[in-house]
Amino acid sequence: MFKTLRRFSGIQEHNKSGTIFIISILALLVAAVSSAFIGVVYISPIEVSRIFLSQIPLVGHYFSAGIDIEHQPEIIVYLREPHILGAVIIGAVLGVGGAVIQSIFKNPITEPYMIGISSGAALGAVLSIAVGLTILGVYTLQVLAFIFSALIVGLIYFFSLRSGRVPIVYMLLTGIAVSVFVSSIVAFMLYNSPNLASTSEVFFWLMGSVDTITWAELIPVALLSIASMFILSLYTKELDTIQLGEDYARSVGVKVESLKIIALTLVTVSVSAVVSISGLIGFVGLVVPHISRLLHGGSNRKVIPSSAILGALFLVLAYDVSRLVIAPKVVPIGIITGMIGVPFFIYLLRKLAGGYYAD
Amino acid sequence: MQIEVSGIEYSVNRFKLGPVSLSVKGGEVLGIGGPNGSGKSTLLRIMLRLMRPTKGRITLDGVNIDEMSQRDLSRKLAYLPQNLFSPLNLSVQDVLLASEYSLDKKNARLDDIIRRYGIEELKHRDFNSLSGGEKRLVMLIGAINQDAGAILMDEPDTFLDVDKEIQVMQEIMDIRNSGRSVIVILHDLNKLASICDNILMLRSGQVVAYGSTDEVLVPEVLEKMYSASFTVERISGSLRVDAHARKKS
Repeated sequence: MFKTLRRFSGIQEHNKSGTIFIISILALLVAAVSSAFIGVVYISPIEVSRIFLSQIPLVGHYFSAGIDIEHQPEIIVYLREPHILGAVIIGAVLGVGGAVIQSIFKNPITEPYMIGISSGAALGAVLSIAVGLTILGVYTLQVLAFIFSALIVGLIYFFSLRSGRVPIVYMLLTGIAVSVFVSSIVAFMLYNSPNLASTSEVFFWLMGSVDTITWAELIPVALLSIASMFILSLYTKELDTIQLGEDYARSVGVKVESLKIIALTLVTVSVSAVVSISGLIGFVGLVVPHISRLLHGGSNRKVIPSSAILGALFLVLAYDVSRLVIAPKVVPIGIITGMIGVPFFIYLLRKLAGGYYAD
Repeated sequence: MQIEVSGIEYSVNRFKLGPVSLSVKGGEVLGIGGPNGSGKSTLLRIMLRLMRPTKGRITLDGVNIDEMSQRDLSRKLAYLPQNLFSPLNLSVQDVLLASEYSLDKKNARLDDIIRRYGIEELKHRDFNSLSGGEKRLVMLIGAINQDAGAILMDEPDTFLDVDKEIQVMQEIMDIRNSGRSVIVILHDLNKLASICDNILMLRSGQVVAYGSTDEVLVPEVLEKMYSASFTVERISGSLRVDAHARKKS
């Protein structure tokens, strides 16, 4: 597999890229469908397929006739489907967000969490769990995580402003500093929390999981995410240009500050949205854009769509592993992404990237 | 295109640039010379609106650059920076595509220009894997491809092999002959002599001399700039500058 990757990595011809895209899309489809075969309750692939097909409007009823086993359709439709689709959307958003943030920061080791999204979302989540806020009913945690994530990013952006411009190094350093500060508040609130149960709930959230996602949570997040990713995909040319330096981008006519605001806003909205329903799933935003660059070269015209597809694929596979590794228990998916992602990434860097990234 | 720079000043910490005033017409090459740290690149960056001057104004065809959109400015002035780095591995083709960001008619010219410079085999290479000279050439091609009214070049000749250097100098003359303007920072006095109509000499942020090549490239001016002795002679129509170690007195 790696020999194939290596062979492709040096070449950026359209036909090779096209083939890789087709393979990745097919792999994602197969992975997503077969992921529904896995679960605590065994449901045969044929049954699962029939349940899928029975959901198709107009022709669905031709397939639903044979499904008579109690509860099986509910397990597929209300549990496995939103979980798997959640993994697809979350993986895609984290992949695209990573590619965009790395371009804006001109830095291969950045990811969306570094601009304050993760610490902000954690603050919102802890406020809801540890303090026991329930002002927004069952969705309090999600809404607070989303709002605080956006707020902290906004605060970091504001602190980084220097006479109308946001020098990206300031934003990165401010991001790290503010994140540490916010994490300290989170730790204090947990330490001071009256009941320990809430602490374990918070830790579970911090590890990231797609296993609790419901349709009601997924639909608004998916709409927001797809819209954000679509708009971001219209800025691939600008994002390529800004990689070469902000001065250079300005000299060829890019409105650099507007681009940064638009890109950071869309990344914040989409990543905060997915984090609000899954918790902190790490490493996808860092690793997936690199794999995309190794496969397709550095241009965001290919890196962004590829990061969406591979991010989704990576998270679906991680979800499969999370359900199989100590079945019937489900391991939080964030643990798996770290366990698979880190060694895979280090292997990839060592094997493929000799001289690939400049010193 | 007419570039007018009037009374530009810029100061940061103890460094003070200017006041600098200059004027460049279409079909003219202005050379900027001077020792390292004299403010040449800063002046160029101020003209490109990448830095704000503390005083003074710059107009292009009578329009103040502060009133122009980023896109309009990029259609007037192209920039060849001292170096360019692609941290996320753009290919040569991607870098060149970035240069034509604000152009309406895409691609056709790019392939043409890639062929003219004989760099077809570099097209799909990772920009960072190129040698210093190849990078320079790709950047120059990008600046030319931007198709602006003037090109501002920060040392276009560094790292170039001698044949590419001749090609670059010829390209600057071609740009000039097509009626566009060039402002070019060069260290090599003989290159300044061979391609410039006018020269501005800076030392420690101050203008030492500004005028036609014949007026500026004289031993009296050059000896104010550098601690060396100079002889300037005209050989078959073009100036030749030679520097010698200054005799200890």
